[in-house]
Amino acid sequence: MSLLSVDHVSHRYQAARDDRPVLSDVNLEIEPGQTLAVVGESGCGKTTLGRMITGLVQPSAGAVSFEDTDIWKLHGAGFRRYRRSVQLIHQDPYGALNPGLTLEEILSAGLRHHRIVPRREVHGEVHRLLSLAGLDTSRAFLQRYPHQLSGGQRQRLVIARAMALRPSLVVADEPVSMLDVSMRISILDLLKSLGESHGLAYLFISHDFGVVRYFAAGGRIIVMFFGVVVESGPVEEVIANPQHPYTFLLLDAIPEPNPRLARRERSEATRIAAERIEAHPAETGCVFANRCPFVRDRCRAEKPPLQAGGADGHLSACWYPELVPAVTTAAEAMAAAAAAAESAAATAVSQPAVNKATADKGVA
Amino acid sequence: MTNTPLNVPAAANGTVAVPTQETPADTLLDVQDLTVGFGKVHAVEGVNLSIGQGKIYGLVGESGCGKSTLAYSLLGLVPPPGRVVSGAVRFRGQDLARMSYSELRRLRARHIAVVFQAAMSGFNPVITIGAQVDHLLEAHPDVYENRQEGRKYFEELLHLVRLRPEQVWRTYESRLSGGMKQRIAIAFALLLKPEVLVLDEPTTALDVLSQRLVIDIVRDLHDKLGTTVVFVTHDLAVVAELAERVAVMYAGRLVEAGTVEEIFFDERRHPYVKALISAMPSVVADPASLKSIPGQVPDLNALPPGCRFAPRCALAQAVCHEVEPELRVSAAGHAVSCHVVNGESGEGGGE
Amino acid sequence: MKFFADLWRICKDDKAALVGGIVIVIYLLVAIIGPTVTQVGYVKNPNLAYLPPSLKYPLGTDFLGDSVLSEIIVGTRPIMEVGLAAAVMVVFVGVVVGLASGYLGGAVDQVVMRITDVFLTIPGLPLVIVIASIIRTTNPLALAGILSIAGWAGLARAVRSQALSLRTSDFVDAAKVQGLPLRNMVARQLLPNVGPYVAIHFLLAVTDAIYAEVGLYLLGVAPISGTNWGIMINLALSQGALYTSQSALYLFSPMLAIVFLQVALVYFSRAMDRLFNPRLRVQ
Repeated sequence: MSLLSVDHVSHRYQAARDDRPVLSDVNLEIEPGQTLAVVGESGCGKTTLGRMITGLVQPSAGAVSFEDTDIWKLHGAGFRRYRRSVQLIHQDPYGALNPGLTLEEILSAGLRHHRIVPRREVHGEVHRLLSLAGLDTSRAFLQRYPHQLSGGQRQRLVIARAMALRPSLVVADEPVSMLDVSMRISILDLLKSLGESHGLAYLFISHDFGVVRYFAAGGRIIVMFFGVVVESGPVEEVIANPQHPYTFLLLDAIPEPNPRLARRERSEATRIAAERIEAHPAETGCVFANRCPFVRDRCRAEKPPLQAGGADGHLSACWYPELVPAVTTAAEAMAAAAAAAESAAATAVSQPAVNKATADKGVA
Repeated sequence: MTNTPLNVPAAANGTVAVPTQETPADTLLDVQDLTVGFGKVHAVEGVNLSIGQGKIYGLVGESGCGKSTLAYSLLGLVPPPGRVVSGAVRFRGQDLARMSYSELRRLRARHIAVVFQAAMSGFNPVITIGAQVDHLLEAHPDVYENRQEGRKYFEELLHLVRLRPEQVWRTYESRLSGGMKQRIAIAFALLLKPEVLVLDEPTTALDVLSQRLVIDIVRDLHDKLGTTVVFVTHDLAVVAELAERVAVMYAGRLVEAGTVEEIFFDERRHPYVKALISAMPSVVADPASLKSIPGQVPDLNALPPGCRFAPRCALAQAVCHEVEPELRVSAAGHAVSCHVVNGESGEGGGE
Repeated sequence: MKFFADLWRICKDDKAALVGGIVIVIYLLVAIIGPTVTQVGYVKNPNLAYLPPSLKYPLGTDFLGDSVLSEIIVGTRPIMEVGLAAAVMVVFVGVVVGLASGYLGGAVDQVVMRITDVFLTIPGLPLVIVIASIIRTTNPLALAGILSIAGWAGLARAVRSQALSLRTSDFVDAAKVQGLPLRNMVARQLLPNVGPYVAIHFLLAVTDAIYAEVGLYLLGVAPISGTNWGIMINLALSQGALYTSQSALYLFSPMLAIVFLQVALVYFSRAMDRLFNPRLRVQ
């Protein structure tokens, strides 16, 4: 029995101007203690997915099930159990804490309501949560208000609050993207260690592959594009060997934190995709067809299902995964470019250095 | 006198603390010992910097470091209640603080253009983009021979930012996506052919593919138009991709300045810069090698004595907690402000 | 106690609020102990009417020989009782209705808003006058109830819009995800965030209630019994105080008493925003 499963979930907003669904036939499962990363750009539905799993939004079709029961059919004790078990960490530490309440009130609210510990132990439990999150446990600190904390401290408090109800699944929606770079690793480390010591499962939503790789190594990942799951599989496998053009583009476009390698030419595919960046998702056929640099006729006619592409449950929704280039590391690309430049040294018109793998694939 | 890449002039014998008054010929903007304050708090403290012709500069730092305030000071745009406490910003030798309002206005439109982070809201929603182009051309009739030329140039700029004129000309801003608006804002900024383009966090809050687009566009603009670019960011990866010269700020102070190669690879670097690079999760970095920086950025209301980074620094010595270090420039022009790195710790650390 | 310590600190920074606060405290003290210190209504001696101010009668006398100052003092309590009670009712109803309607949304919100609209459209003072003249009562609570009929709708609407915007906050989501019950959502999540607005509105509601109340007495719609400022003005006018200058004090004293209190309330409300907003209250 999986901890949480999402079955054929689709969703549309009722008041939407265009009829494009926010989510289309999304399926996923999270086992206890497992980490599932969800990656995609804004508008892909990952936040809505997170809100559905935490019961804030009801899907217009399909079911979200906690321990095999649809969460919208839970009542009484069963529902309370679900509420304790699935918690949420928001992206914005500045909005996630009630500005009118002290830290103590914020942390103890859930503890008291669910009677996690007897009344007289609430204070001690609050202390325990604070130290778990690496925060000051003094009395004075507890009486502070959120606006007196720094961004990093607030996010730690949000984490402490999420841990208060002793959950089994934590949905973390971009937990570090609004924090300074210097403290991202420490927050990710905190989440990882809490996960290990408490056997937590995570649904980790992010647009940043680097963060995902750091946090979710050993876990699984799904890549979403406009409400459709286009690729899924083990994190390292998908990053090293993407089987969908969109995943490849996302990986290829990442800025390189190394000036010697950063100036390399990105692949031709990336250049083409960049020009189509404003194109709307396609109504028929593959949702990515209007932006895909490798698009063929079949892509516009038939919607590709998620099918096996690589090892280990690696699935992708593409008719031509063989066209997806391998992600060369920057070093390899520089070497290839240098070699190409040498061989083209005599010609008058200089050719742009092209990713060698792409040249063989026939970019559409 | 060697002219350092960031044009912090160096003495012949090696390092100097404070640059001289003369500025080299190709310096466009010269910031001298600038301190900008909001009430009692100094968002920018004692910064010396020169921006030279035709280069791409990256101003990088985390929240509260003063990079945005510094960037706005380049245009004389310190938002009230902020004010320049001391020091000066000079454009081609002219002190911005001494300029009249109309001179400043001309400076901002024609010589130094800025694209704000919230470029999305910089447009008039009730007239078309094309109409706004006309308004801008009307306001500055001496830039082009006639309206037609101005429009033609704008269309070329649109091509450079990867937009088609028909997408833009007769459109209202509500129909445009955030990414498109930002690119149009860049085109607007360049319409009057400024020498300097300032971009405030151009890639922050953008998706990866849009970021890639903006990076490629800025490179193109620089290559084709020769515009000097100053961009502000907290993302070192974007700096690695775009910048030629880099200035790193921490808690209001300029802690390091040099070429992008020096910032990433030089042995003689500020500990904060080294630590920041090792704290960036990325797809290429080995996760085991990454380490967070302990502690947090100091509250500008309650700064620690001595070096502002000392409480978090693994290399801190006694002197670091007592005396603020000064910027020392190497012969190559690489400036670092650190006692230990500059061999001033008195305890044998650093070089 | 921390509340009062913070209040003192805020008032020290804002002199106007401090003055306002002190004046309000004085009025409250007068309201509480006034009637035990002085009495009126026993003299009824026309020969002592409209005497000029003296040590015995600091504000002169009225048309029956009673000290005007005594009447002001005695008349404070009824005015403040009703004023405060009305403000409490206005705030209670307005906040409960506004928060519930804004947070729950949907059909509840629609129905409640239409009712609120009705009350907003009907002119307040005439409505109150009509109702008061039908229900002739001297019971302070009943009077307060009548006065609050006009005032709750505006507050309800404003609180509702605050609730609507707070409803989509991340911290409200977090409270939902923690399974916190509705009463917690409204009382602990939303209420502290509308605190400053409500506190200021409370003080202004007191001023509104006092005006309306004095107006009722002045117009003779509320029964004339006992002594209060409104009755004083009513009697002063009906006894021809407008036509002689000797009775000026009798006419103006209650008016000035009202004005000073109103101004004090308004000045003091400046401190409310800082007091109830944690972001401004704590350093």
